[in-house]
Amino acid sequence: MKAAASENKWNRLSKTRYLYLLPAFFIYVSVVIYPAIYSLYLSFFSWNGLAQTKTYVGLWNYFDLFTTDAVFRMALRNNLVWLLLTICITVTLALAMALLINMPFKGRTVVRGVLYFPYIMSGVMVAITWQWIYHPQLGLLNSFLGAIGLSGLKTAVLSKTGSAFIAIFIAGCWHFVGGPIVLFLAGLQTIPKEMVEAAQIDGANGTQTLLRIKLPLLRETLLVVLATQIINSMKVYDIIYAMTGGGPAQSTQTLSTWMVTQTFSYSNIGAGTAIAWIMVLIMLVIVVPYVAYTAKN
Amino acid sequence: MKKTISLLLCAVLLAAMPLSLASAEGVQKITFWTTSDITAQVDAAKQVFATYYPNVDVEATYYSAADLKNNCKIAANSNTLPDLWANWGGNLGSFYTDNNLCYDLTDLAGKLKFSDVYTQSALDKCMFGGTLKAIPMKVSVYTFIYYKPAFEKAGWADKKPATFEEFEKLLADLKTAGYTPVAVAGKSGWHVMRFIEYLLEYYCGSEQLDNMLTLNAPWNNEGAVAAMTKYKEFADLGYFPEGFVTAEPNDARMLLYSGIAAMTIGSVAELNSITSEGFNIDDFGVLTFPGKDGVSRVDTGANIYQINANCSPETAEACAAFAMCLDSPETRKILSDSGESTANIGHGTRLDSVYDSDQITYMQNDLKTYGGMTLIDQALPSELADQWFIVQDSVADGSKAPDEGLAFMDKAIEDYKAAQAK
Repeated sequence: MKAAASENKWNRLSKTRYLYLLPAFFIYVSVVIYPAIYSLYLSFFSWNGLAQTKTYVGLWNYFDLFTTDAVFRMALRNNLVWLLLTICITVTLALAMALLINMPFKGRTVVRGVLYFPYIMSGVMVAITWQWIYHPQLGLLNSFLGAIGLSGLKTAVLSKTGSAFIAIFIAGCWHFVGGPIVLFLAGLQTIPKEMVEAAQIDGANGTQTLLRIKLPLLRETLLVVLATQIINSMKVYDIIYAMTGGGPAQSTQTLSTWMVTQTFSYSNIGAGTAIAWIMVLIMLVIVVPYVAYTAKN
Repeated sequence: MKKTISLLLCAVLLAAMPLSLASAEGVQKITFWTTSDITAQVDAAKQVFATYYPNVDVEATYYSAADLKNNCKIAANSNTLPDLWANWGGNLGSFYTDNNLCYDLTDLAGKLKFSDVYTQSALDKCMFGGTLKAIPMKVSVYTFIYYKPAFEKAGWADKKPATFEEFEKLLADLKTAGYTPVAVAGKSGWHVMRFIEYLLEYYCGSEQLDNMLTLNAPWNNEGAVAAMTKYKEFADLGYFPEGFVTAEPNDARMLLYSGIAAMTIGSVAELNSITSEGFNIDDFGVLTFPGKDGVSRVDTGANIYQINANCSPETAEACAAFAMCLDSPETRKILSDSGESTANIGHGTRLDSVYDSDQITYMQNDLKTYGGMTLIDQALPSELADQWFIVQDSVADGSKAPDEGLAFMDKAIEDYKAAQAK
């Protein structure tokens, strides 16, 4: 009897707990799920966001983006370039810095703070700061080049289609490197000191310790860093918008900035939502294997 | 303890409610979005407005020009437009009228006697689809504003170029004297576009340019190629600031104020800024671009106020009255008495327009004498204007030759027309 009463109480509690989840569920559905599905629906129409009727065009918005919209192809290429540079440069730099500041030295806490500080700045502040660094007449970069006798290298980096995107990436790298540094530092703290000491006793030098002990044990941290940085690479927006607005000649457009332009400047809701869903599909290619791997482990 | 704090918080919230309800009762408010260069004018207009509508509060929000355009579009899509907003004419303004977002002002025009205040040509510019859907603000003339000491140093004291050849000599002399001749800035494209419009008018002629702007003539023509070739030549000669392609238009003003540049292209807004930044307006002059035989139409852009179609008749009337106050003689007097610039007050639109500076009188006389040409970004849809900005950037950068850029523009127009036909 006692057991039956206990079971009934448990059943009541099991049902009751779902009630407490309902508010969060409603908010999630209304703010995330419904807009996402509605935007997918809108991507199959030609619509300016205001007209009473929408014109069904099927997959034509997607087809148009890949075949006739040269700026979309440029934006997609820019996102992929940003992604590759993030993996090769930002993540590598973050790991190197984390290894350096993991070693004990005087002022280590201050150095950690200085390295992390750019990460907490807003993208717009970073953009304004670096716009001034790159300013052709008054900026730090050209002034420095002039001061060290390299006046011939002075240039307006943000005004040339060949250099503007890389210049923005450098600002972005300075901005975003702090986050992975913290993650790598946290990962390095989980490496047992005894393993490192044992390797050193066995005659391993610094490089061997790094390659054979530390990096393999940092594998999971590296996966987290790569996944988050790749997703952030696909979403990059504010630093581009504030530094160049997508110019010169649309050469620094990314999928996010082009999506906003299509949706709100051209009132081309179909194209804008199609770009959004192309971004989702690209990110699913990265996120699904990552989630599957972490679930398995 | 936690229970006590929660109860206290609830009590505070409940206590606040009657206060907020009491303050909302009987107070009508209109929301107004506009550009950030007229804050003093809005404050003065509020004082005038309060004498006619003492119970109506005006809540003004200020944006940069680019942000105002974007935010109005976003608000339109989310049905959160303010009661009254400042806008530009042409395709920028017609987006809202074409989508039935603007109040029909026909009845209010009679009640508030628009025809006693505004010129007929100004009211005509506010007609969309045969209906009055906006209130005139100003007709801006975009011309060259120059720093007199720079001209003196370059040997052009009290002289202005009368022909295009003399204009080229002026640019060369300014460069030799150590100045950047013309400060233009290409982020968002429109500032550089103002300069190129004058070149297009000179090389293509008025009729061909107008046909190009109505998409009835190809852009890749002999005149336009010559114009873009000249633009590239000026860029290569350093007549524009280095890195101008992605510079902010505000940077162009800074270069003029700091004596690095000799000229910029602007309207009364720039004259307003000169005064509000604390510079002596008498150190600056206005220069007409010398076209063929010394005559060139001037760049003009219409600015308007639009009222939300969802407003009640009472709110719409209050909005219209406030818009009229913004450019009224009373507002002008308050600004003048407090030492603020009156440069922005209703130019080319009001029957009682007064131009209390030589520079503005000069601009408006040019408009009357030579006529106005429509701005490219008001004549063309946003998508095509952006394609034109790509051409501007690419030609300056050297990544497209002038004829390649113009062919690119023709292709963009062709694609646009095909998309519209679908």
